[in-house]
Amino acid sequence: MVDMRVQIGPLELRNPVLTASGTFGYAKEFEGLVDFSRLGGVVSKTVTLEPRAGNPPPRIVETPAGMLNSIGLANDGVDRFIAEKLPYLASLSTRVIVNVAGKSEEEFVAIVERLERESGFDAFELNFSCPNVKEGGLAFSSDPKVTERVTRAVRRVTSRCLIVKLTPNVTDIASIARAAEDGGADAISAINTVVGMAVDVYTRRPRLATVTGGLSGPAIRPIAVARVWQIAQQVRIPVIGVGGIFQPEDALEFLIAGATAVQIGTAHFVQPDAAIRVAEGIENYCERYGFRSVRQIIGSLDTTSPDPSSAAAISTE
Amino acid sequence: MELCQVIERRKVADSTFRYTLASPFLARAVRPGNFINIRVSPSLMPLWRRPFSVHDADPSRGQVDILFQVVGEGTRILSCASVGAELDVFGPLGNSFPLPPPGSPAVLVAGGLGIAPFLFLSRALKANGSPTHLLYGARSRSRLVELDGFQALGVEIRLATEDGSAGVRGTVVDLLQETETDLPPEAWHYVCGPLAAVSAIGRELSRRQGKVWVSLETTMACGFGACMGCAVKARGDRGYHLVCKDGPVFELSEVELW
Repeated sequence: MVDMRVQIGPLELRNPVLTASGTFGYAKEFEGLVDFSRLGGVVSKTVTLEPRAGNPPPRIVETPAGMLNSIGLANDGVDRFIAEKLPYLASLSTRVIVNVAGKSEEEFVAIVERLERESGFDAFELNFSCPNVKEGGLAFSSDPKVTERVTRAVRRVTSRCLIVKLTPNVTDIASIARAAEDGGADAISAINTVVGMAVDVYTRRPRLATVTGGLSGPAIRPIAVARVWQIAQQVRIPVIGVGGIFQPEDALEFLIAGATAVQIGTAHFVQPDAAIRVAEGIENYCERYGFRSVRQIIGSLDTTSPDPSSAAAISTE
Repeated sequence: MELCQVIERRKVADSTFRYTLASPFLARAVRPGNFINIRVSPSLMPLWRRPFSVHDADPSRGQVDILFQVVGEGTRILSCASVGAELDVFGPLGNSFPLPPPGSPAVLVAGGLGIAPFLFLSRALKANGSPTHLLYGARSRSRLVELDGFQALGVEIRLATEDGSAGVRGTVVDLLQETETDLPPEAWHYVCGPLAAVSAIGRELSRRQGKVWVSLETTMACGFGACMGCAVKARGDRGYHLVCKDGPVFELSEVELW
């Protein structure tokens, strides 16, 4: 029996596998497809103060081992989220993390204050990093000073676990992560999507209505693992690894590189129960290789020069 | 999600296939207009499942059929599946075609592969006692498929081909204009085809009386409302509908197609 529990700030997760924001709706969409009690937790689609219709189509493009999206944070706004989505999320026997976004520091504070009064969820994830909205979005995690200021402002109005989700579209993600830590974040999620673009050469038009969008899926996984590794060495708070996880081995890469937990995103579109399969696979790996706790794997990356004989021993097992 | 065996594979036209899949569950659960999402390969390319409307279903034999044309990598891989192969199928997904009051007439308008969901719908319309007319347009005679199936159900068929090799020369919109006076005006109309065709047909039908239902085709990543990628503009100032979850069948007045 493997101890799969991990700790994200004040929050204990049953296992290290969460669902990534914007890929799992408000969980209701997955009713009957997923046994929620086998997840570490659910992260909601981004909620904003006011309703947002989202971007015009085309909003998605399939790319090699990945996809571009430009949904534009389509959601019904915080009031309808509380009335219509939160009760269902609250009824699930798993951790619930509400992802929020604002166009300004004031909006971030306002939406967190509004939600803080409600029960039925365990943590906030601040979306500092959506590449697909004209106002704000990326700006909040492109400048360490802004990251720290907004994190601190939100920290003052919530006693819940506070997670900051970062964009990879910056020069030095570790400095942004440190700024979030200094601002009082309990954990860092990394990464959000990578800015990307696809062109229809026959019409010479962009394939997305917004021209550029966010690349996700296995195509970005090596980028995400590297970012997580860089961040984990620079902060004391836990890092949640996100980016192209489809298989248990993908998640293990993140854990070994230093992530305390992972989020499954794009895989849900192809295999709705992907997160559960990943959680099971991590447990099997621990059992097979003699780890009594998944926590023993976290940050276990061995960067000493590789021993070819031991590598061969594992791969032929 | 389940693995369904391909039990029959027929090439019905150039690069166009009809597959019969074994699935007692789907055969009982599907309604005309629903679609199923097939993972054509366990690899990451292509990444997404591919949506196919249900062409026909036989609950007594536990079978569902799809009709598809090779248009890209996903359908090319699918077209290589042989009899006995197992496909990873997710469904049924989406809503279904509402039926007219029992006994009242229906007009089906199909452009190209838009014919796919109409065989199953015709079966339901027959059970509903609805006299059914099919207006069907394609590039040429060789691309008109599954006519026998409609004939067997007693559907009255009118054809259009762009090269004039069968029926009226022109598109299904030309056919629609030509037949305006001799089809029952109160009939419920059902439209399916590529978005440009549905838009042109919808524009023509919006001038007439009788309800119009359109089945829309868009790029989809998930097929069940999670990714929100398959947005179509709602008519008026009401944001967007999701084709996979709110549709694929919409009343013409719900969506902005032109």
